[in-house]
Parts: sequence; structure tokens; C-alpha cells
Amino acid sequence: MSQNLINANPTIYNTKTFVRKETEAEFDDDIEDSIDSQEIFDLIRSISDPEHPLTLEQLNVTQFEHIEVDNQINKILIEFTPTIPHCSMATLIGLCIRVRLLRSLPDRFKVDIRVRKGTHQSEGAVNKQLNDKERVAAALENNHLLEVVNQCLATASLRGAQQVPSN
Amino acid sequence: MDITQLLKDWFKSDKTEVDPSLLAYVLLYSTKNVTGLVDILGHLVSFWKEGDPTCRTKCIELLAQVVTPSQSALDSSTINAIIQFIGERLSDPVLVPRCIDIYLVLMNTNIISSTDVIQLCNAIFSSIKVKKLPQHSRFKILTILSKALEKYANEIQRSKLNFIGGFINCMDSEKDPRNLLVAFELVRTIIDRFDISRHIEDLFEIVFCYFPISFAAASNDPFGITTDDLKDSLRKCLACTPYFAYYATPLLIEKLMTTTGSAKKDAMETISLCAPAYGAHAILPHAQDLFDALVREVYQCSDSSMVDVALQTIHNVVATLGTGISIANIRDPVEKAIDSLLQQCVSELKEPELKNARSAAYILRAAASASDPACTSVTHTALPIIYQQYKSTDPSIRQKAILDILTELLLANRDFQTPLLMYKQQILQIFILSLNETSDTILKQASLGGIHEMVLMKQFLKGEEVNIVINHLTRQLMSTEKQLRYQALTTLGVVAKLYPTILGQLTFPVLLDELPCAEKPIDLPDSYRDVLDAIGVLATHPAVFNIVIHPLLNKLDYACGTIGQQNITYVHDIASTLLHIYKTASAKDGEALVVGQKVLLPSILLKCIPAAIGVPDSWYLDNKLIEVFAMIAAITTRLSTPSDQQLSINDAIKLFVDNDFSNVPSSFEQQYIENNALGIFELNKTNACIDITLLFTAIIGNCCKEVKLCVASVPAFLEKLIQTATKASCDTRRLALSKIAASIINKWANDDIVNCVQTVSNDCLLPTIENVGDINIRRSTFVTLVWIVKSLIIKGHRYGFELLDSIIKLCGSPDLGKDAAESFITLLHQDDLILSKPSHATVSVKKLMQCSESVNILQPELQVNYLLALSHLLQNIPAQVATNEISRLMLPIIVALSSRDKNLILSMLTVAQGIVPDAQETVVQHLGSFIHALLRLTRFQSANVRMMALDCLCSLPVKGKPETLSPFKPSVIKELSTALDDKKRIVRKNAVDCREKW
Repeated sequence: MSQNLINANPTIYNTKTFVRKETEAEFDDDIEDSIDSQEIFDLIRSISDPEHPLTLEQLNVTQFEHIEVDNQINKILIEFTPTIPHCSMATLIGLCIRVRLLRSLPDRFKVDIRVRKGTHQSEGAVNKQLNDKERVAAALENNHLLEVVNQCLATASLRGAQQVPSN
Repeated sequence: MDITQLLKDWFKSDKTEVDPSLLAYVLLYSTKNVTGLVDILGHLVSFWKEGDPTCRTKCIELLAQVVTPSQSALDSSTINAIIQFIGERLSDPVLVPRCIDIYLVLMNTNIISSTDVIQLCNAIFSSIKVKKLPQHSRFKILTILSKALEKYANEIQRSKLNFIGGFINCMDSEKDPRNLLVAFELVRTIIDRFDISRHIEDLFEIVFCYFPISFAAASNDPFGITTDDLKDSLRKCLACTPYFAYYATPLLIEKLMTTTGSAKKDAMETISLCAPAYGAHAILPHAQDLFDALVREVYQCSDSSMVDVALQTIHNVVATLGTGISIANIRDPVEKAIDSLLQQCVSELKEPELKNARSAAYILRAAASASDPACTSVTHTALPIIYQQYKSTDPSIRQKAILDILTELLLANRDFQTPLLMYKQQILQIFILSLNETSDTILKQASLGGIHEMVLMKQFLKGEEVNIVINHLTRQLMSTEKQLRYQALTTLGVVAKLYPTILGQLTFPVLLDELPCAEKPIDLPDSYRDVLDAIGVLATHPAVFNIVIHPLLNKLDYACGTIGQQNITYVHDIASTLLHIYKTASAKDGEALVVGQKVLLPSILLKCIPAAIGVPDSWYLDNKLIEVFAMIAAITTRLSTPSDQQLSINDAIKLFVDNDFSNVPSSFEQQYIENNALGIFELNKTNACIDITLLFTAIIGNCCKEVKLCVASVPAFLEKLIQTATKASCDTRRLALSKIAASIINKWANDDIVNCVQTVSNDCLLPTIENVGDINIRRSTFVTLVWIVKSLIIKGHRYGFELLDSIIKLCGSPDLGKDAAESFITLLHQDDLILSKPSHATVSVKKLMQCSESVNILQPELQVNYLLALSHLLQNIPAQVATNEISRLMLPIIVALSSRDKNLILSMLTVAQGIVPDAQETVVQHLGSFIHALLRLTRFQSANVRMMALDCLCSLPVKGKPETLSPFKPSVIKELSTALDDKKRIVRKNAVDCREKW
């Protein structure tokens, strides 16, 4: 895989701009904290890129601003930005996000994962694939693919706390 | 019967096995006669000549069975005879494995001579076709050869025997991992002991043909040989001699370029190890290819562990290049070799915000940190390019990337600072500029990281530069961003060690200026806690402590004396900070202690006394403050010399017992002295004043045993103390007096004192606890009892354990049960103020368990108390003790987790978290109930319980084996879906992590 990288030299962005302030209310049992976009972002920000030892946040693939959560109708919309428009890893990245959320969110939510408009050549195809339940399930039956996804998700629990150790 | 006849009969018979009776007879014969075995050999020779193949098999079988038990009785002539005998009979491949067994027995004897060994090896090399033998025989041959080398390496080398050639034949095409481990070991011994110059290529080929090892260890391998064992062993062989360099280097590089994954990693790690062994001359011709391959790995690999290995290899190769080359032209070869490496890095650095620039920085750091010439070369090539690119008007992403690269170079220069000094001004300017001219936190963080490195580098910053850096760091201490404050503080912590005086001059005035004092009565800023935190970190260095203690005491005086009542938290915080810095500084340095004795403690005492006796306008005091001050008194007393302790104890007794104020420098009006509020035995004082008896406790409790208590009779004093304690209406007074009693029992216990304790307990304490109607009196008496028990248990006194039994029984009492359970915290927890010695808790685990079990059935409502006591006990004893008892503890733990008492559950969860995950194998039969108890708790009311239960659940798969846990997996994952939708965010976070682990 290392011989032909799709994007060999991506830009690295500054991270850690969004850190939730810890307050007393966090521990107060009477206050209900609803799931918000910060929480969703925390879940996916530290997923590793399949090509580089960097997180999706560092590559600006996932951004806090591009997540919408509606607790009333239990809907979540996540848009991600591939580093280059012809990135063939886009589906894989989307799949990683999908799996992470499948494992981490209560099943009342309907999660829509999309490529940010105008950032990828075959936007429609990728979106269709990522939001088709059966196709996702079929993809996850492929053991090799599942292994790659799990590898990318290994760093997800860092939640931006520290960057993927690359040195 | 005659031995000849016996053997003849056996050989003629159809039996193929050696009868036990025959074996016994032959063994007896051979031990009876000196030449016994040789005689038997003679018989065997004749049977061999006459007999058919079956007969020959019998010959060897009999010999093998006879030799093994007689190993210790063999003499050298017999050994020689056997070797001769076997040596001539190795032509039949069927018999060879048994012959090898005999050889191994002979080799294991202590008296085998060098000639015999050489003969034996010769026989193996010339007559045995090793490849065709089964695995265990090949293993034995390799073992025989190892033993031979172990015993007679020099003799073998001097002989005409071609050992290396023979060995190479034996090892050829060996595939068994167990055999290979022995063979690799042998290769290393041969290289170490022999002159291998004529066999280099052969030896190399026989070893390198295994590279890279692709071996998947079987999960049920009884020998437990792992892939890494084999890889390591092979790698050590390759790195064993520089002779291999010529052959190995090109091949290793080829493997590096053509393989992927673990084979590539193996190649890099091998190069890493071999480079220093092969030396610069061997590496230099291939440096270009080597660096190309390694650098490509760093730029393109997605696996960070591979990148790390590649960087480490670059580091080792560059380090090798820097050694072993004549001093006159030391720079040339290294510079030349890393030149192309540098050129590529430099071109990547031109776009610092891209990923490759970061990789390039890592490569430069790996190379530069390897040797002096490399460091110089890298620094001069890369630094100017980097700092010329820096513009404070650039986007922050670019600025940060540049700062990160600079920091990497600073890191590389830690050990070699000369080249960087040339660029010091520019670097410092960039970091300071980026710290000041931006509001971007990320950029400031990067900048502080670099400054930290500069401060750490020895002799890098000098004079005015240090002042500038300290000033800027101090400014960051006031930042609103927690992370920035933390970083600045960490760096200033380093500064505090290196330049305490400058820190005292520049940083502390700024910090202290934020806090109000009499000269500057400002409003208390919101950020005061950060200021105190900073003081708490920086002033722990003794030199700094001595500088700041006076101004800080002024602040405390103002806080307690003027604004205390309105700002209680602030007063507590400043006192705690003072205690913290005093505690740390006095532990490091005697000078801080002197300050404590002469300044700190006297001034605090002088202010506490008027407050305690009710003088108006004195300090604001409360129990929390008294605890802090008592701790200061305790530390001071503990560290003082016995004679100083004697003086202070005398003064204290005068003041607190005799109501004698003559040693107190200030004078008070007579009415306050007559009030006698300090007298520890006076119970009718006014409630308005604060009780400072704890200060007296601190002084008495921290004296050494040699110090004398100047009272008329210690037992009488003790009895009075205990009596007063039980009668005291004030909780703090009671506790302080109980602690004094405990200290006295613990330090000065003799028969009189123990008798006194026994009398008081039996006549007063225990009857009060059992019979008195008023629950408050019973409760307060119980507190005193607990402290007495604690002091006795710590001493390991028998009577203490007798009293402990009564406390355990009290756990079953309906009204005092809870107190009794909680008292285990007091009993076992190490108190900071007094009695700080580990207690002996092992004995009581069993007793408590027994009691707990017996009560379980009788009164389930009281079970909670026992379980609570058990959980406190388990929290305060060494984890190993608890782990040993784990199988008996599981049931109470599960019962406790299934209760509804929040405190009990929390306490037991802490216990379970500490011991269960590590002992899953031993408690496998309880694991199911344990997991389900935890899952139930994920729906408990309190968020804390839910979080801890999830934490505990999470640590099971982290430390346990998948096969043990797999039956529970589906239900755990299903049950966790509720926790994923928890109403609290922090609980959801734990649930996600927990589910991920399962």
C-alpha cells in the first residue's frame, strides 16, 4: 500500500481547538445532557487516516462545524471532506465513521454520512454506498476490510486528547 | 548365573525388549567389577559379529539402557571404549538415533576427555547423515555439539577436526524452531570462540538463508517458542561479527526494498542492530540505497510503529557512520552520506504545513541526534531554511508547523549544543514572537514547547536571555487558558531548579502581587487559585522556598487576620499551599526546616493562641485551618533533633496543660489567661473560641521515643486524657485528645501503660459503649476506643486484637454498626499527622470474613455494615493480600454490588476494580455473576456508580483472556446499548470506551 499513496503529502491542520469545558454540571445527576455535535465530533475526531499515521481531525477530513444533531427527530448528519477530490479512500473513511458511530451511539439515531458538497468527484456514488445499510453490512463481512477499519478505529478513543503518536 | 550365558540366552531368544531382570543383572555386574562395562562391551562385539540385524539392534538397545543409569559411574577408559564401539557401528541408519542417545549420555559425564569429545564429534560429522534423522535426534546432536564447545572449545580448535564444516552440514536445511534456537546459539558460540576467517561465507549462508523468518507459532506449542524469539536469535547471529558485513549489507538492503509488512520491519530492526557491529566502512558504500529505502518508509507508511522503527534505524545507521573513521576527515564521509538525505528533507521543509515536512523533521531529528558531525551538518543545512520561512503574518497553521520543526531540531540538539548556538538569537526571537503576537492557543502551545526545550538544554540560554524567557513565561502564568498556564508552569519548574534567585526576583513579585495583603488591600482576584497553584509548584524548591516564605506569611496574616471570615476558601487554599511547599521543601533541604522552626511555626502559633483564648481581633480560625497548621507543626517536630523536640514538648505541656503563658512572647490580658481555654483537661470553656488542641497533638505525636513527657505520672496522665476525651462535648477536642492518647500508648507503652489502658477499657470504655442509653455518649466513647485500638494494632500488641474483636462484633449492632464499619478506615488508613506506620491487617481479614459469613444468614439487614467494613479493610491492605483471598472474597463483593447502598457499592467497586481484573483466571466460576452485577449497576441512579461500574467492566477485557470472556460478550454488548443512551455525557463516554474494549 505504501508504494502508491493516493495523497502522499497532505496538509496537516492545527487541532484541539474544540475542547469541552468541564463543569460541575457534568456530574449533576439531575441535569440531562443531550447528545450534541461536540460529542459526535469527539467520537470521530481521532480516527486514523488509512494512509497516514494522522487523525481525520489533523487532516481536516472531519470538522466540528460539519456535524448536525437533532435530538427531537433522532437524526444526525455528518459531512466529511476528503483531502483531494479523487480520493479513493473516501468510502473507506466514511465506513470507518459509520462503524464508529454504529458501535458508539444508541440505535434510536439515524445517522447520515455524506461527503461535503463539491469536495469529491464521485460524491453521489460514495454517499449512496455509505448510507445503504445492506452495502455497509456486506462490506463489514469482508474480514480484510473489517481489519483495516478496526485499525483506523484503534485510536478513536483518544477523542483528540493527544495526537496519534507518530514519533 | 554366568553373565555370558545370560546374554547368550537373551540374544538367541525372540524377545526384542530388555527384561528388567536382565538389565538389573547386567547393571549389578558392571558396577561390581571395575572392568564390568568393558567386559560387556566385549560380549556385545562378539554377538555383533555373529548376529543378524535384530541382534545388532539388541546390542545397541542393551548398551543404551545400561549406560543411562551408570552415567555417574563411568570412567574415562570405559567412555573411550564405548565411543570406539559406537563409532564403528554408525553405518546402520536404523540404529543411529539410539547411538546418539548414548553419545548424549557420555557427553553429559564430567570426566569425558577432550580426545574422546573430538573423536565423538568426528564420528558424528563423518558417519551420520543428520538430515535424515528425526527432529529429537537432530536436537540431541545440536545439544552434543553445544556441550562439546562448552567443554573443549580450545582443544577442538587446535585439533584437525573440521568442526565448523561439520556443524554447517548438521545445521543444513534445519527447519524445526526448537532446533534452530540451539543452532543459532551454536553459531554465535562458534563465531565467538573460533577463527572463522575461512568459513565466513558458509557460515553466513547457513544463517542468512532463514532471513526474514516467517514462522507462525502454534498456539499449543509446548515449548512456547515465539516468532520474536527466533527473529531475535537470528538477528543476534547476523550482528555477531563484522565479517558478515560484506555479504549481509547488500542483502539486507535488498530485503528492505523488496519486502513489506513484518518482514520489512524485521529487515529494519536487523539493520539497526547490525550497523554498529559492521561499522562505518561496511555501511558507507550502501548508505545511499539504505537511506532511500528508510526515508521512503517514513514518508509513506501509514503505520506509526513502522515509522518509528525506520527512524530508529536511520538514527543507528547515522551513528555508525560517525564512528570508526579517522579523525582528520571525520566530517567528510558522514556529510557525504547524509547529504542526499538532507537535500530531500530540505526540499520538503519548504512547505512546512504539509505532512512530508513533518516527516522530514522527524528524519532530521533522528539523524542529527546520532552524532556530533551529523548534528552539525543537519543544523547548518536545515536551520537557516526554516527560520527564513517564518513570518509572523503567515497563517497560524504554517507558523505552528515551523515551530514544531524547530522544536524537533532542538530536541535533536539536546546532547550537542555547539551548532545551534550560532542561531540562538533567531530561534529565541521566533519563539518569543509567536508567543506574544498571537491569540492562537495552539501556536502559543507550540511556542512554549520549544521554549521548554531551550531551557532544558544545558548552557544554551545565558544572562539576559534567561531573564527574557522567565518574564515571558511568567506572563503566561496569568493566561486564561489552562493548558498554557500548565506548560509555562512546567518550564518554570525547570527554571526554579536552575535559576532560583532570578525566579524569586522576576516571577514571584508578579505572582504575589495578585494576592491581597495589608500594604495592598486589593479585591481577591478570581484567578487567585491559579496563582496559588503556581506558587505551590515553584516554591517547593528549597532555594525558592526561602525567598518566598516571608512575603507569603504576610499574605496569610492578612488573609486570616483581615479578610478571613468573608473568604474562607481563600484562607484554606493559601494555608494549604503554604503547607504543601513547606512539606516538599523541608523534605529536600535542612535550610527550609530551619525557616520552619524559627519563622513559620512560631509565627503561626503566636497568631493561633490569641484566637483560641478569645482575644478580640485575632486570626480567623476553623477546624480545617487548624488541621493544616497542625500538619506544619507535625512536620517541623518530626524533622527536628530529639533535643529540639524535648524543648518544644516542654513548652507545649506548659502551655496546654499547665496554663503557663510565660514562654509566649506576646502578653495577654489576665482575663483571657484565666479563661484557660487552652488547657486540654478544661471542658467548660466558651464555645465561641476555636479549639487548637490538635496543635498539641501534632507536637506530641511526632516526637521520637527518646523524648520524655514531663508530667508527674504518664499512666495517670493517659487515664485522665482518655476520661476527658470521652466526656468532651466538642468533637475536635475529643478527636485530638484520643489521638494524643493513641500516640502515648504507641510510643511509650510499657506494662504500666498497658495495664492502665486495659483498666480504662474494661471499666469504662467497653461498658459505656455497651450499656449506656444515650447514643451520642456511646458514639463518642467509641471514637476514643478506635484510636486506642489503632495504636495497639500498629504496635502488633495482643490486647489490640482482643479489642478489635469487640469492634468487629459491634458491626452487628443496630445503632453503632455503621460507625463500627466506618472505623476500619481509621484503623487501617495511614494517618498523616500521627502513627504513620503501616498496620498489620492480614490477621483480621479472616476474622472479619468469618464474622461476615456468620451474620449473613442471621440478620441480612446488618450485612451491609460487615460488607462496608470489609470494603474499607480491602482498600487499606496491600493488594497482594486481597488477591490471595480473592476466591473467598468474590461472593461478598457480588453481594455488595447487588445491594442498594450507594456508599457500599462505590467502595466495593473500588476494591473490585483493583483486584478482580488481574485475577480473572482464579475466579472464573464467579465471573458471570460479577459481570451481570456490574451490568445491573450501569442502570443505577447515581452517575458515579454507573461510571465506575463501566470502568470496572472495561478493565475486564483489557486484562483478561478472550477465551474466558467470549461467552459473556453478546450479553455485555447488548446490555451496554442502554448505557450508550445514558442521560449523562460522561457516563456515555465510559460506555463507548467499554463497548469498544469488549
